[in-house]
Amino acid sequence: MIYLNAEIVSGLGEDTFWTWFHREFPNSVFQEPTTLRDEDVLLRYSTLGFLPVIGKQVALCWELYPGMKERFGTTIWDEKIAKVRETARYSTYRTVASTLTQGDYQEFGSVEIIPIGVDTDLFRPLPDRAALRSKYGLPQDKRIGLWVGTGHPMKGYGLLLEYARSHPDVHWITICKTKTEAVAMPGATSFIKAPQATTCELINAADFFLSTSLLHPFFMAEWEALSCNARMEIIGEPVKEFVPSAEPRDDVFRLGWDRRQVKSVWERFFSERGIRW
Amino acid sequence: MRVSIVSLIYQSAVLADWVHDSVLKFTPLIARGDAEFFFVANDPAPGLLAHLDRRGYPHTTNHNRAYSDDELFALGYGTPEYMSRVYRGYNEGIRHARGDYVVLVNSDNYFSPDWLENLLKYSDRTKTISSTLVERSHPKFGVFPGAVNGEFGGTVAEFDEAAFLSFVAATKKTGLRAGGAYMPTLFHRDIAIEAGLYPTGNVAGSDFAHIRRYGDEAFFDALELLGVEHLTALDSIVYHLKEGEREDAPLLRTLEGDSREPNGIDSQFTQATPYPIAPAIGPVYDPLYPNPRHALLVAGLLGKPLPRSATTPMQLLREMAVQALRRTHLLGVARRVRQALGSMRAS
Repeated sequence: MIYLNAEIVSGLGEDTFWTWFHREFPNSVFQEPTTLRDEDVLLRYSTLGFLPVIGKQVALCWELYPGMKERFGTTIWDEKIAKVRETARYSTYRTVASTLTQGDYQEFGSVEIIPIGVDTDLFRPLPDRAALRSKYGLPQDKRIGLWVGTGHPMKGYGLLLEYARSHPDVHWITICKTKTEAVAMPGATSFIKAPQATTCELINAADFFLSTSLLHPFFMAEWEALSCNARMEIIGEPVKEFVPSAEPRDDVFRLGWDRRQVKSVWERFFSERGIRW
Repeated sequence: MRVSIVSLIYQSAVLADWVHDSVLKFTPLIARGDAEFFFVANDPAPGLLAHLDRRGYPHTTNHNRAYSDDELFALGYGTPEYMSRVYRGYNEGIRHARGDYVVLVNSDNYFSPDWLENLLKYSDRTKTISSTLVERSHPKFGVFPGAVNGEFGGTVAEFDEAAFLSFVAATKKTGLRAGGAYMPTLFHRDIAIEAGLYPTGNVAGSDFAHIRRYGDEAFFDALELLGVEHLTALDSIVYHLKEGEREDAPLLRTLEGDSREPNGIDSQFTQATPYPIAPAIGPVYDPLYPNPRHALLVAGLLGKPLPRSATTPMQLLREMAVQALRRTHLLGVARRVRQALGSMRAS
């Protein structure tokens, strides 16, 4: 049995790693186990803290709090960081999604890099940009930039505003997860809680994706844009895990971030460790 | 320095290379400067020091004073004589260590990914943490009661690393169990010193041939009286060839005028397994692991001849009961209360 312990399985009804994994591995269940057999495994989201059960446990250390702490020099995330480190320390295995965060947990043992995986079937290049612009009431005759994020400082909303001031010719699409996290950019076409299919169409309607994140690894929204073969304009943290090529979608496959390859990695991971999947 | 990893070495260049390479391969903490590894060349055979120097292996040399059996018995120690030199070698390693924690390993151990991190993660001053030992079924000694059976070779040349690492991947899991092997074991250096380090020999009974307590048992007893619990990490896995330096020893030599096996090793024991070994008794005794008395008890109950050092099954049962009590720390608490009352009366 594969036990899945998520912080949030799917906050907005979107297809997340968790919903995808549960679908692909029918032997998985959303449950905190009280015991684990040798052929069982627990995939534990690291912010939940360690579950004191004997058995094979995998800490999913995907949160970027250590990087945020370093970037902003604050203690506000220390409690979360302590939880994440506790899970990383006691789990049998640790996984991160990026080489850039591997070093955060190496003191606790080996750290595997397993991408979270992006849905390359859903997020793909679409053919008719004009039709998409028309569908969403976007101008046909202007350059369109797309930004995904929140008002959180690590997302770099301030950088978006600065960039927009120096590029007045650009029309902006902003996509935010929730109303409370939403930004209110004057003149922009704003979307809140856009379904994933809509996000894909909006990425394809735009001329470029503006990355303002202040952290090194790419966020999922950026991976989705890369998967749509969007041109990336990176003005936040300049040192990223890789420099997108002229064909970013190829980069996604080359780096093994498509779900098919991610599934193979998990299958191999389980098989090598005697886990029944 | 956080951890010192220490291996005794006597004579085998092959095992020196084997354990050194294995430790370095699976201990990234060394490259990061959080751990050190060194040998204690304990009464080294001719040629061994030159080999260690040539390879640049960190080491310290320990030349032990030779004690006769009578001299050892006068100090309270029993057979075999060579164990006295082994324990003095361990103590020299602990003294020489720069780490807050010390792990003593055998030169015929082979390590696996995260073996040290997974000892450290459970460690503090109140615990000694042992690795889960994987051992082949030795034709003479079987499998140590605290160990897991795995057939990955009995010599360096035979060792099947790929198969062992696959076994580790499929076997290891987060968790602890009580007791375990005495080596590799991680303990806090200060506590080991506070416990008086290893007794420099097996603790003698009524005569030199009668052992009341093996030296490592006595050391762990002393730790326990300081409130230090002995546990085994289920996710730190180490292989044990169980041949020590006897068969993989190109530098092997015979001590002049010594009727025993080379380097003073008595044929009844090996330096790696200084007591007789029988198959595991079963999970019901897990909390009492490891206890070589189990092996003796089983042998006694099965009507097999007991080693000379062994007492009767009833005595063994009584000792096991006492050990169980010790594990609850009741004896330690009682002793401290008695001591406190004694000092109050004295004052």
